[in-house]
Amino acid sequence: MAALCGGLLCTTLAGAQPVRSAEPAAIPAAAPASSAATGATGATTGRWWAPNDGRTLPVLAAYPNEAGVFTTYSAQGPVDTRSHAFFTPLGPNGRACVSCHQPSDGMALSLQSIRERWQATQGQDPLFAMVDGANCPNLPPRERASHSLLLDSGLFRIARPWPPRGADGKPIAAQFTIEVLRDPSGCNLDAQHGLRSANPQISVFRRPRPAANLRFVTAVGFAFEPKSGLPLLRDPDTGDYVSEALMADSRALTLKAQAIDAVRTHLQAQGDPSAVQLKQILDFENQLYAAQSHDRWGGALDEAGAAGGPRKLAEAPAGVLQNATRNPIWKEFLPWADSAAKAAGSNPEQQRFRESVARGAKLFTSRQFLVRDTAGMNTFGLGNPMLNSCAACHTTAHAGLDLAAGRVDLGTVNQPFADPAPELPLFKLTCRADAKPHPFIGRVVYTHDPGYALTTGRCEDIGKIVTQSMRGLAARAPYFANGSARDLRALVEFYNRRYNIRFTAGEIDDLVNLLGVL
Amino acid sequence: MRLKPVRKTASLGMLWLAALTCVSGVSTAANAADAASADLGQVKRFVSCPVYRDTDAGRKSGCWLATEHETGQRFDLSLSQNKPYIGRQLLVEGVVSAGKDVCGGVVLEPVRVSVLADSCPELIIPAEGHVSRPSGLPAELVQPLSVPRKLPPPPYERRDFHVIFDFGDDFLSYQQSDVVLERIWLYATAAKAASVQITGYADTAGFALSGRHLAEPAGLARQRAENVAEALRRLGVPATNLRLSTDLKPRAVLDTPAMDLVSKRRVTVIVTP
Repeated sequence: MAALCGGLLCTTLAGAQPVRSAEPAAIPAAAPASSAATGATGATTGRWWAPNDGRTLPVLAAYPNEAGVFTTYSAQGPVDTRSHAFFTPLGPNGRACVSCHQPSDGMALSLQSIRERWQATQGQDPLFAMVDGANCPNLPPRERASHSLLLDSGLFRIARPWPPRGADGKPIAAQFTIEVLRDPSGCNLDAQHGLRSANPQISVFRRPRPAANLRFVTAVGFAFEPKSGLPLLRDPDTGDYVSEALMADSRALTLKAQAIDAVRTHLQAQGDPSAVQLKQILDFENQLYAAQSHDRWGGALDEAGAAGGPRKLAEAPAGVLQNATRNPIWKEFLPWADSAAKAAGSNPEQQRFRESVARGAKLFTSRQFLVRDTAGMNTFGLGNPMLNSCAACHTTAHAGLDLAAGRVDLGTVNQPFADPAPELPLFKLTCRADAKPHPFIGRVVYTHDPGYALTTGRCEDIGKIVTQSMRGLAARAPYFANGSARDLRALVEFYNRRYNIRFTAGEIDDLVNLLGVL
Repeated sequence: MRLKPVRKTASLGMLWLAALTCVSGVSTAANAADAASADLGQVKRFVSCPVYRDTDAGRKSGCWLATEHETGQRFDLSLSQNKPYIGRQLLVEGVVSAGKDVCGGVVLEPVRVSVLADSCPELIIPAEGHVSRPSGLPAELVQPLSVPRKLPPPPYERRDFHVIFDFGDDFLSYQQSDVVLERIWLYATAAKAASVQITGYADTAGFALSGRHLAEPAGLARQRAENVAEALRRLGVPATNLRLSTDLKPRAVLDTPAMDLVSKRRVTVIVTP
């Protein structure tokens, strides 16, 4: 099958599933066929945007990928990237924001691109800066083994202070102690960078998140955050509530704070970016939409009644809670289930693919299963277990993240739910006797990444990772914060196993096809 | 009035055995008798292990059951806003109601359950023909931010608010606590409150139940008060107006059946213009 598929995302050939062994029905070579932006559309020269690239990012920039075409939509018009703060190195290591937020990669960074840059530059691309592009800064540079987590799993090192620090920079009295049980990177036990160094740090390893569609990520629907029981925090500059959903561990609450943090850490700048630079970065991010726009088998994702692609996303309201009956998430693709869509299809394979996507969209809200042992989700009154669907956590219409700061311990990082990951560190966290323990694991937790607990210092938050936007998935494998799902099929199968959902093979295909068109 | 004990085998004092007993097919038939014999309006308080019945009347519709060991009677706790955790003991406080048996137990309503720290066997049983009921929303909900808030009208005078907690917990319950906190914030804003006194209570004396003594730790009073204070600060009540205190000998402030003891586990907020 792999040979027949030519490396494409394959589905099984059983029954009514789409057949992916033949040439797809409609693959635009570069520009999306649906584009109407005269003179402002097209693929840029080359996929990779190096810092100081100097090209103009067009209104619609289209990039083929294994599933079809991914497109960014710059709603405010073409972006002249010359001297633009997002595209310019603001620190000494040669990186810019764009280094890890590539337009071709869903405004994040795919493992494929990382490997291609390694090959193209023999590891000298600024992407591989030792500060976090290596397993630990003290390792020999430009040796593959020093960058194995980035090259094998797409993971950057995130160094969090220990003990955790509050928004005011003061240490928080953590409710748990932390021991390093396994340290393949060597960084957590390192005399200069580790837990017992003069500047104690915990090194965890995570994937970059997309710097697009941020209107949905920063939207606030309700004042209260049910998982913590408290109202949301507020932006110190504006006084407005913040979504707390920007980062995996909620360590930066606003786009401004995230940009400053990124410039200081990933770009290694000694000071903060200027006000002008910050405005340029934020203005760019806030007007940028990104989504898969074409599928190799399904064709244009905004045809035959469907409402996929980045332009539709730009028109959609943010901060809207999905509702399984009145406003189901991924309703964008439900029209493909009906006869009108079939009539519009140009060939049977395209029709079958579209129907599969529609079934996946339906399954997302309709397939009930027992959500259990998930700290953050089963712990605010809903009970453990709770009968619900994928949409229980993926609640934000059009984007798929949780509208209520989805900090949950899904089981990707905490044992025993997490898959074995011998390449990652393993920490033993022991909670104080007077602290509220992790609700389903107890007072001793073994984890690859304490997640939100590195921000709050609370035991109950160990392993909680904020859900993220689901748009543009096809452009930015691997998935989950720790890259543990190599592809979309592995992602669906994780959930299937974790919650004993018992999806059929056909249902898995349908969900994979849905995720691939988002 | 007393309930008629139906199955003495269920009161063996072995929680796991009791939980298992209630899943038998025999117990389903017996439960009809339980329902018929249960005295409407009787307050039920007990500690037990929860059983999740895997019914499907839509999302969040699974049934929650627990057996009172003293009587062997099985109750339906599903109408509690806060639901149990399988594998953890729970404190049940509720009132026998005439609600239709759709889960395989006598319906308690109102009912409140508190998840305790002690462990239980995890038990999930099949629907066995029970239809359950669709999940419902509380009568009062916190509205989205897009809905403009109306400040309460005068007169503005001292007003007391109570935020109720589960036994042994300082967690501010989704919706239940939120609506009260928002009410406090709006009233404090409208009244231009000079003082917002926050008193955290913990039932440190406790009570005897199901062969054990349940009491809350003293530190919980402070934790509850601090959580409420943090919530009010985030909502917009000026921090300088907040005063915190604790009281370890709470009196009940609710006299509705089964809720008297519940109301000792609270924070009282007094807003003074």
